[in-house]
Amino acid sequence: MERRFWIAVLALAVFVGLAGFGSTAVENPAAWEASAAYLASLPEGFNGMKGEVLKAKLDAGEPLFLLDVREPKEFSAGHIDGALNVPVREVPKALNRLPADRNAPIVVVCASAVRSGYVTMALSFKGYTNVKHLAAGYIAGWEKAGYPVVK
Amino acid sequence: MLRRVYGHLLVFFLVLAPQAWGADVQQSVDAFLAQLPTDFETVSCKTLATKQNVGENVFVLDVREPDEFKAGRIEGAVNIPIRVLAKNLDKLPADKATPIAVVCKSGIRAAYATMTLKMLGYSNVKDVVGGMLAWEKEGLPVTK
Repeated sequence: MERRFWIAVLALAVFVGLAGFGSTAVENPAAWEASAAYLASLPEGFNGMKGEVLKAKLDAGEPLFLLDVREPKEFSAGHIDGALNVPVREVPKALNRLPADRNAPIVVVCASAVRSGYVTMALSFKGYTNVKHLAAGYIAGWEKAGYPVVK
Repeated sequence: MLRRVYGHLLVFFLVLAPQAWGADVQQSVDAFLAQLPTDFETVSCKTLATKQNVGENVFVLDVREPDEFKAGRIEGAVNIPIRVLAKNLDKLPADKATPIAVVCKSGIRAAYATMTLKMLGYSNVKDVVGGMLAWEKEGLPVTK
């Protein structure tokens, strides 16, 4: 009797474990509604902020949270002063390092505005209301434009 | 008095509380970011052009606005503007494993599309880095 009980417990543990493993799937039909809503409401400029606009805001001392989602190697080779580096794959586990106020302005930076696009959309899904990305990315949108970088 | 308190609470929940999507969507978003491959789901213009030249079956999805599309596009591309993508999935290949290359002007709209399609089960989607700007800079053929 007792053995049967432990077999049941073991089976349950395996089931929960498998269910947990399954929950790492990217595919999820429930994402349709969220995606459709985000895409349909994209403003002109598609949530991009041009380098010159970002530069002006930083110069004016506007409170902006800069989130650089490139890999540490890319970040240390040159970045915008004051940016926090969280590589794109680690963003889901680093939300506690972002502003607690979900209406705070955040600008996401990567090399060529692909990774920052993913993070801009992901943060919007998580309830952040004021997220933009550096248009054209760090290389074309900031570095090549000759704006100041720190190493 | 009590009604006023409830009123304030309602305002708090409607306006101040973060409006986030459900746990199932969050799990999908987190998995997408955490499991990004080393190419971050991108393909360069040159690689895409080579694939097309050797006759590989790549579905080119152009998510720009119709007027941008008309002004110059990759041969054979299908146009679904980004804002109406989710409502036009029937224009995409029925086989969700078909290679899809998403292109826009600079790559950002394609990033939104790539993430969306991956979450909807399309398993082989890539963002054309730099978009049509890069495609034209490389001198690759443009259809008008």
